[in-house]
Amino acid sequence: VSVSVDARSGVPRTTAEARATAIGLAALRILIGWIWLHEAAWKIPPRFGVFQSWVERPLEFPVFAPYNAVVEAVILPNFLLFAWAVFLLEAALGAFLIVGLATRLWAAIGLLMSLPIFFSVANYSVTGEEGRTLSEWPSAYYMMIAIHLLLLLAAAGRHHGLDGVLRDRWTGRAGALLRRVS
Amino acid sequence: VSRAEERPGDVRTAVLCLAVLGIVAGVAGLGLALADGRPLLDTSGTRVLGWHHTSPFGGLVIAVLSGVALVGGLRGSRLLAGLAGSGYLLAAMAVVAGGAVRELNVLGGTGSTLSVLFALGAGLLACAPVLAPKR
Repeated sequence: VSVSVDARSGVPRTTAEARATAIGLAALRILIGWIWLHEAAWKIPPRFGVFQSWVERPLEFPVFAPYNAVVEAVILPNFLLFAWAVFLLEAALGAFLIVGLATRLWAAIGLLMSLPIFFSVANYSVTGEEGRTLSEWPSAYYMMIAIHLLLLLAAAGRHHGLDGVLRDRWTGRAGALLRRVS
Repeated sequence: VSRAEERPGDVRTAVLCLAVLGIVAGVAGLGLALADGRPLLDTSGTRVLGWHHTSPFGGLVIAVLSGVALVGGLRGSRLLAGLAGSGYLLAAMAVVAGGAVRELNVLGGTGSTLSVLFALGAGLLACAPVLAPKR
């Protein structure tokens, strides 16, 4: 069994371990990208009707009072602008995470976008006519935040992603910037 | 010799992977939309393998662009890879326009289609400038 030393941590590890870590990170990155891709699918322009009902949800099931103030004062009065921005950002998040391009930048954006989603729906809970309760599972959003943090810190696009193929070829000032976000 | 110069095949492999992904998305979209009996320019689109949505025309556009990317990858052609990448981003703009005005959504796309087009377009345009011709 061959042994390599991780360049950053200096921790010795077998080639098989390194390969398994790379495959795991790539799979996680693609899975999260796939989730964002699906999230973009149900936000239907030009009116974004269903999405608006989710944006209004924290007013009925509050999680974090300052976020509710932002929803009332900024988001709802400019809802269409907000909805288009979210629609385009979620489509781009799915795209860039799946191919692993500028992954650290997009993982950071995904992490930031996970917060308002958490503040919007974490306490959502309704009881139907048959007495069944339909509610969110708040831990899912903690996991979402944690996974984006992992993709960011591990630079997951360098493992079976375009960042890994291209970052050594990026040159000049733009290349330096791209290497920083990849 | 830098590490990147030692591995000229990696970029071609990446372009070929993107092209194959596009061919699967396009051909499946075209086939499923036709099997669903949708008109060529259907604006609502057919759900493709729980993945994205297209009209038959949308599937055809994705498949043709992916064919161009495939040839670009096989030949190591920066021009063809760049053309295919630009084509995907134009198609993405058409999906955005189709979101604003439903009658213009001739590709039958949704947000997930937009995501697929962004992935293929941005990926190919990132690879094209450093793609080396096949020796």
